Amino acid sequence: MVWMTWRQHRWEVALGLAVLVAFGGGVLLLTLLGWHLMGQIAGACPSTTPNPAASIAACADSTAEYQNGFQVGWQWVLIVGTAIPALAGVFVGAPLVARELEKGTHLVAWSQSVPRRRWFLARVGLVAGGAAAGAALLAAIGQGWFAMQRGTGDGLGGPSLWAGFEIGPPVVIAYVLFALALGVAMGAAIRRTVPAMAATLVGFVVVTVAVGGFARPHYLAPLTSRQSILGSFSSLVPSGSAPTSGPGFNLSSDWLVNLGIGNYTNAAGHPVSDATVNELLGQCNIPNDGGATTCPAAANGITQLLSYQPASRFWLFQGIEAAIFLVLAGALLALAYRLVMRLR
Amino acid sequence: MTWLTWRQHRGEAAAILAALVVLGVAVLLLTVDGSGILTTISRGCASGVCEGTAGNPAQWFESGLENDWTLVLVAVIALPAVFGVFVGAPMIARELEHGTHLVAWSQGVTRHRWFVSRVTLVALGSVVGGAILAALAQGWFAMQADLGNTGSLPIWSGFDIAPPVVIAYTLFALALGAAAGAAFRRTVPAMVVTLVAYIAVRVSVVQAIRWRYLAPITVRWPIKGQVNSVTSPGPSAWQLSSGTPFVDAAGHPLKTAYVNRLITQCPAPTASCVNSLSRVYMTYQYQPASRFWLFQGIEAAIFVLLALALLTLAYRLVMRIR
Amino acid sequence: MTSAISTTALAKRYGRQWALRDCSLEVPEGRITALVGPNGAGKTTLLKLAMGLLAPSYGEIEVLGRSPQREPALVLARVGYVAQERPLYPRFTVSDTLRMGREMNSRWDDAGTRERLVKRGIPLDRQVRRLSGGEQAQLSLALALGKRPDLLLLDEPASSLDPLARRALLTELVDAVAADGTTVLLSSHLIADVERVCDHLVILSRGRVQLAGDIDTLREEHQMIVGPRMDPTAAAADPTVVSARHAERESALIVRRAGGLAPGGWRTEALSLEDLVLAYLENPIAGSRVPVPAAEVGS
Repeated sequence: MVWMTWRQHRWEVALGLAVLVAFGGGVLLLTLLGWHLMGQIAGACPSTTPNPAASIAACADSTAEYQNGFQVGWQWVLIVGTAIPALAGVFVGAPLVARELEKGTHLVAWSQSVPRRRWFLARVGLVAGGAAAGAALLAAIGQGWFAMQRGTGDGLGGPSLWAGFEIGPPVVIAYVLFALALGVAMGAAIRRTVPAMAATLVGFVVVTVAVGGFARPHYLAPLTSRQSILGSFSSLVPSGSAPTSGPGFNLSSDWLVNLGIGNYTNAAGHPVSDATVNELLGQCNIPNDGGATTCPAAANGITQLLSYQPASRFWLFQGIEAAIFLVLAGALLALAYRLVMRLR
Repeated sequence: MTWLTWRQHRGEAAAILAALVVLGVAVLLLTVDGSGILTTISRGCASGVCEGTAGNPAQWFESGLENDWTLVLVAVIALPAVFGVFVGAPMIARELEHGTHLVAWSQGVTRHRWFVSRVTLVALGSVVGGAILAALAQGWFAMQADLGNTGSLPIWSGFDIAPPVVIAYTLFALALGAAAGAAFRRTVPAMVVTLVAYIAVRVSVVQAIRWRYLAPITVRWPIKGQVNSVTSPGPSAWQLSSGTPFVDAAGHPLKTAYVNRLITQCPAPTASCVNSLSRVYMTYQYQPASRFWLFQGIEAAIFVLLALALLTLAYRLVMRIR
Repeated sequence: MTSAISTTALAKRYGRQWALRDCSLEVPEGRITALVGPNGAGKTTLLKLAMGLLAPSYGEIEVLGRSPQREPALVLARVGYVAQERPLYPRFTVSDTLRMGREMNSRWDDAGTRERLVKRGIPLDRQVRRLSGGEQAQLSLALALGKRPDLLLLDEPASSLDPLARRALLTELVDAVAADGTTVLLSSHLIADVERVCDHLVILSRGRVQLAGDIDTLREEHQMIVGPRMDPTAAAADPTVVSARHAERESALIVRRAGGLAPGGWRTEALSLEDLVLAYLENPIAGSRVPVPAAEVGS
């Protein structure tokens, strides 16, 4: 079965490798560009200077360029890293069974000496193994990128660990296996290649978005932090002031789950209405030249309750989400197995 | 031919309609969800400009809704590609692969008419679908833009989801699929090629070609010894990234390190310092917001022309199948 | 004589349609048996049931003493199968196809299979989709024979082949099994092929076995007799009459009786296998033998 599986999937292997190489190459390019820009920043942002005001602008420029360029680069890495599992499911998983059935070649495959059960287990097992290896490679590339970002981007707003949740290794591998299993199941159920591919794409997107959006913030009950409504979500300023965070909550590394808007309390612990808060905030004076904002004194004691997941929980959450998707993958493969065995 | 085309594509049409409905509902929900926060913010913004380094509600809004924005953006950008891959590629490839083209071409309709009718009808459908998609995206975007000059959602950031280009992308994807299908005659390979080619072309255009449609406006001003906060063309312009922001009077780039050295050598603005620094200018390039729709037209025209070329290619390939 | 395939009241239903119904037959070992019948008779269903590709709705089937459902590995290793329309992987080369056979069968005669194909002039490095219909049929047969099966199931192996290719295929088949004594069950609706190649016959119609037996024996048992016109209902009521045709002045009957001379006033006429088969197909048993009005034929 090993040769047979290889022979039937060799183009997919080649393409998959090509995609990974391209992805890795792209990441490498971005990394090199990053080092170049970091060099510029180092030149423009000396730690001490006799004329700090003058150099700040040059520093600000280089920093802004780094940030802008890298925001975009970072988003693309994330999008591609999430798209690849979907593609694996659509282009490898869905045709696996559906194509044999559509072309009638299952009659050839299932009338050799390999019983149908073994055919399914061997074929799917080998393909899943290959896919998992590819996923590991993908995750390694993503992690390499990440490490570079966080290592050199200190204080410059490199993405927090949470921002790269979808390409953390456990999750990526689980996504790929889930997409594959979904594809095989759709192929066995629908028995036609193109509809199975479409169903796989839709199913993958729906499930990952639903889990990521609704389930993930609640794997563990989020921690809460009481923050002044005047508080400190400053956009990260370049050298000089470090980003401020509230009690317990670290903006640059924790995952803000809920802003707590609408959930205001005053210093005495009594709830404050939205209307009051809006009015007070409306009286704030935010000067245009970047100077300090002044707000009415009454706003000082009012806090909002935000909820967050701390960075320390990142790997735990990775494990939970990976487990969820692996269980889903297992269930889908079992379903596909039943469907294939029952095609009589 | 109309009935036949409909009959062969009705499954896909239903699926696409369902997808658009789902997207519309999602956008609606996000709009409703967002408007509550919007009210909070609009009252909290002092002078209409909700920027600044103090904690401010606009950023709370952004961080909360940024994920949604990315989702919508990704969905709208991805859908034309999905359309090309799942509708355009199988349209011809599937017939050829399964041999059903022999049935279709031995009826009373000539091969020429079969191709033209089929493609035209599906293209019309795709234009309609693209228009609906763009309308949904515009609704979402308008709501975002109402927020004022937040700086993170200027008009240019919505370039890929404005109606002219979305419709053009959809047609292009369809044509690409048809050409790949006619060339490769097998469904799955045609789908793969369509996807890869679509991404390659779109990314190249966005990264390397789009900013060149018209020569960007260059702004230059001397730093005069004291580098002030950079005057910016405003968040509505599309600022192009430049290597170094420093140039000399003739426009040649100056290394940042060099400028830095000049600055650090001048702890106080003496006459000689001012002199040496007077040679330094800052510069950047941008495309103003006023050119937005012009660029839309240019990019749409490019992709429509590409689509026509690809359809012609597909036609020639199909006619040559003997 | 032992049976390669033995079925007992075998039935298969798809939804509400019966593809096979109350099918009890024995396919003898070592013989080439033809399974004939019109389209939709259940031939493909029966072959797939024997191969374990389908599961029976009712009844039992035993292949080489094993159940294809419960012991698939044992059955698959000893039974070769060529499906209707002879599916193959179109982009595999001939070599790849043989490699597949080698990889997926524990017992595989690589040299012999290659030799068989080379003898037929089939290039090993050509893609399957570029072979002619006849060559693809030879390849399908070679693939099934490669595992040295004890039983070979062929579903309309010669369909849509030109006469030359058909003859080549059947010759190949006969040669291949002659030496090994492989049991063959092949379905066909081309009686000429059946006559040339087979020695045992099963007639299947509307999901039921109409007739089964050794071809020579069946021929001896049946006669076509022609005589003066007789009463159609009398002919229909006679259990030995398989089919009857009544013209204005004559009746032609196909009867099943143990040889002997025709009754007085009647003469015997040549009965081809095709006539015999058609007779049974035109008058199928539905449940019990229901008299069917004989067709009026203008002479």
